[in-house]
Amino acid sequence: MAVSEEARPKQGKTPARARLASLRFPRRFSCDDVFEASSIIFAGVIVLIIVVTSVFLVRGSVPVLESFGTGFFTGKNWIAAAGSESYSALPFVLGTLVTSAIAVAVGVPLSMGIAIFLAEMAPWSVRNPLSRVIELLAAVPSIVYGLWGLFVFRLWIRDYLETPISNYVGSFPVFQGTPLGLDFLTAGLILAIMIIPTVSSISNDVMMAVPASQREAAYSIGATRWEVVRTGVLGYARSGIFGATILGLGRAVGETMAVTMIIGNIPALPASFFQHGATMASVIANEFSEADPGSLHLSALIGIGLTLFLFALVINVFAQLMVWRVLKVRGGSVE
Amino acid sequence: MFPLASILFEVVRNGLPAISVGFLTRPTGNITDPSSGIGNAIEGTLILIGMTCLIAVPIGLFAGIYLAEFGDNKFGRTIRFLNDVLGEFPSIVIGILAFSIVVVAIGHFSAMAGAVALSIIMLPIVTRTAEESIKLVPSSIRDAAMALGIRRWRTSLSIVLVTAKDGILTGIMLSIARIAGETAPLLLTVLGSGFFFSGVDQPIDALPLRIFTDYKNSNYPSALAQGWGAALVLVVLVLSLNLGVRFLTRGRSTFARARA
Amino acid sequence: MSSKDVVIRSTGISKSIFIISLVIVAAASGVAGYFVPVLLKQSSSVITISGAGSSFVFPLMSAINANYTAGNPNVQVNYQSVGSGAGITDFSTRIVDFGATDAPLTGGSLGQRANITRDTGTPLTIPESIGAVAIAFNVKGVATGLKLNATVAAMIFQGNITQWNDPIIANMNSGVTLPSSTITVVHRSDSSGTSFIFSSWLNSSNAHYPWKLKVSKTPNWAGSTQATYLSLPQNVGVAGGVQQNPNTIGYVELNYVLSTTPQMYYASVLNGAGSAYVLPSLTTSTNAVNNSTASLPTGDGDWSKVTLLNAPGGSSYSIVSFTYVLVFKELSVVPGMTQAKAQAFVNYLWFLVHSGQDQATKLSFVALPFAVVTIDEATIRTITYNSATLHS
Repeated sequence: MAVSEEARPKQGKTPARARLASLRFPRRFSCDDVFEASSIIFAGVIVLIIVVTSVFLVRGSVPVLESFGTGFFTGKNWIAAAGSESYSALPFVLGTLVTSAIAVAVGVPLSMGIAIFLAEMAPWSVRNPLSRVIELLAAVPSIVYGLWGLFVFRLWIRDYLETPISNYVGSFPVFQGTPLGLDFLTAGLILAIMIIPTVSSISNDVMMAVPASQREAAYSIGATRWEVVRTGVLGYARSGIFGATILGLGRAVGETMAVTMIIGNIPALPASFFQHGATMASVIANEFSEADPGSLHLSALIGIGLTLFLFALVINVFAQLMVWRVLKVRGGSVE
Repeated sequence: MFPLASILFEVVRNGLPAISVGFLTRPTGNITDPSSGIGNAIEGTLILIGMTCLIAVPIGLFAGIYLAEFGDNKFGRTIRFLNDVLGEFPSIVIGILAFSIVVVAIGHFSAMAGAVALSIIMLPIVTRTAEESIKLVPSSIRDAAMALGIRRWRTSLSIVLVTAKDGILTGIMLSIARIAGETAPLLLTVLGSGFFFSGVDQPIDALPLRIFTDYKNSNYPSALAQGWGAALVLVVLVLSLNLGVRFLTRGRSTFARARA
Repeated sequence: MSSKDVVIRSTGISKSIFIISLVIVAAASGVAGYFVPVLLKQSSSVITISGAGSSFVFPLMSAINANYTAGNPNVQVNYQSVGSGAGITDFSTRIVDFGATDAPLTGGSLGQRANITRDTGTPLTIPESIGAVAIAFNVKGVATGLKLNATVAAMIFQGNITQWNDPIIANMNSGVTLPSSTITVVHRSDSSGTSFIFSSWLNSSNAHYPWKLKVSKTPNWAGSTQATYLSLPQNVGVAGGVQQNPNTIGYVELNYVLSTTPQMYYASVLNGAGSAYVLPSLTTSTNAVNNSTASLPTGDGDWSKVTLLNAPGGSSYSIVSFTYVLVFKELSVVPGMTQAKAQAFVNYLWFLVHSGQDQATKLSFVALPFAVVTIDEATIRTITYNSATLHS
């Protein structure tokens, strides 16, 4: 395989003219060039979408950034009433961070547990149906999660988790407030449930794709079952699992419907798990249609959209860096 | 595991009583009337899926081909990165974009705007899946084709794509399952409707929208029952797409499914 | 040699199935789009009118519109609830043909009415239904009999009073045992005409304890530091918030409260005359409208000062309000408008304020009284398309 890779000319690096000149046919563009050109154009659509989005978001944010400057990112108010307008993205940024952090902190270990169970320990008869079920559950739409979360899940959390916590450690700052179940904690936990299918099924696939030779090598030097999993499998699959986590994080950051129905929608700096809050996605969903075109309110919402966009960018850059680092360390042995 | 089972249980328990042939084919009309159905919501979801695929699949396929075949350079890496960024976009931001561009341009809410929003969501998934499936095709096939004198573009289209079709179809079906359940972008772009399809430049209904509207009016028992019924139909649709993927790729290696 | 390296294998889908499935997907849109309506005998010359706005009036509009299409099969009126604020925005940007709102266009030279008139055309305000806001609560042991007035309510909702057994509440409710728990106030998280109506009423509290959190579709709940709030979207959210949590109080549209199960408990409110505490109902709401002495402006006038709150009359409920349809006087400013559509639109509006009102009572809405219908008729007669009136 390696030989033919090198032997094949790198199309992207050879100028079209040189290729043309090497043809023995009458001078015309070959179908290959048309093909390459058209596929570039289609790929360029992606660039176009990103560019259009960036332009739109930046242009729309200019009014509010002009009015508030860096205060837009450091203030703590969100008042839309004309005459006393004050907008800041900070409550929502923190809200998104807190809920996503809970989602990843709770969801990823659970997903890993499920994935390890499926990949390493489950008997054949259980593994296939169970992994199928998990992948199917990734498909439940977020509005259904929202409905269920609002009517069923939050009552469980309120009664079995928050009230006991509040009774025992309610004086700690992070657990203050009346536990009603409509707060950062429940929203974060729902997000955790939502990302478990994605993270665990990709981790599972990645772990199952680890070559048997890795496991066998670990066994052969006398590792226990858990050590085999830890060193042989998890180490090899690390980048893939990390990629799965990033996908899960991305989903948690952008999730709108389920969070909007559960988090209480008050722009406030998160100070307690039991507090109402809002995330960037939820405030946009709530207020976008209301805002008058051309108003500062609309600009503030677009500013939040821009912030979300930057989040997605940063998450991806971070993921790429991590994967690149892993690649460097491992010498490129990643599937 | 338990919460997930609970969701399915609740949906089935509450939704099943509402299902009937009439329910699935009648339009919504009067939401307070027990004879109101979700026929237009189902039709709307199918139409939106169709329109979205028409937009996103060709673009995604060719973008994926580009990345897999010609994408070893800086431009390709940029595209790959931007594609991942696009895939992480919150759907609400995509909704705002589609609103600002399509709804404002046409002058009112339309199915077209919804399809544009959904295709922006679908595009990165199709591109990524296409690229990875094509990359999995071993060079031996390409080499064999080249040895036979078949042109590059012909090789890509006829041979490589066909070999990678399982993975690509998997990606398409999974992304359809994803967009079928998207609510936020549709809220801003298609308005919703109580009637059947009347044109791509007109508002249209869709299952997630129908669920949301029924939830808002769930004090009327008929609306609440309709909402659960619509949720059940949506979940069944999405699950059967996933099951279809499973069925079609049985015995297959896991590579094709690794990138969901 | 791992079998995972071999990609070509004999299972999996065939090429023809792949192509067929792509074709099917593409055809699904065509088939569904063009044949289903044909099968259901819909004519292709259907006129669609779209409206958006208040979610309060959505069930009524849904029933009226279905009724109208049943009688006029070539006209489909599609109304969706996006909220009063979005309804006004969508109307003013002309992406829908009409808007519906519980809060009238703001007046003054910088208000919405002035802006729309300057930018687009004269907006007409057509009251189409009447709603009432009930104060729902959930306190163990207290079913009926909770009495409130605007001042006490304002104090509760902005946090001057924080305990259920506060002496001020107890004074007014001598027959009721109130617990010593903290009051949790449930309010709307989304912009809402219901919030506008309720905060307008709270604003009528006396000068010692004025309502400080603004009269608005989005009152400034953040301005209170003492109240314990629960913020939820939609009427259904607030209702659920009250029902599922103890010691809560919130505000919900009356038609919601009357049609929901399990039963919700709501307070009786001091009437405008100050003579009795009145429970919200269709009757007491109708009384409020009938007794209201507010003189109503013409359709193209400023409705921002019109109020049915605190209406006179012994059995008038105090928190009652119109809900309005917003229409442009000169319909040609709306993109996509044609002569035929304009005519159909005006006929629909006529139906809305006449036969459409028959749907109101069974859905727990208040039907328009004769005096208001007369004003609406005059307004509808002024609607023009290319300067020619459409309804005589």
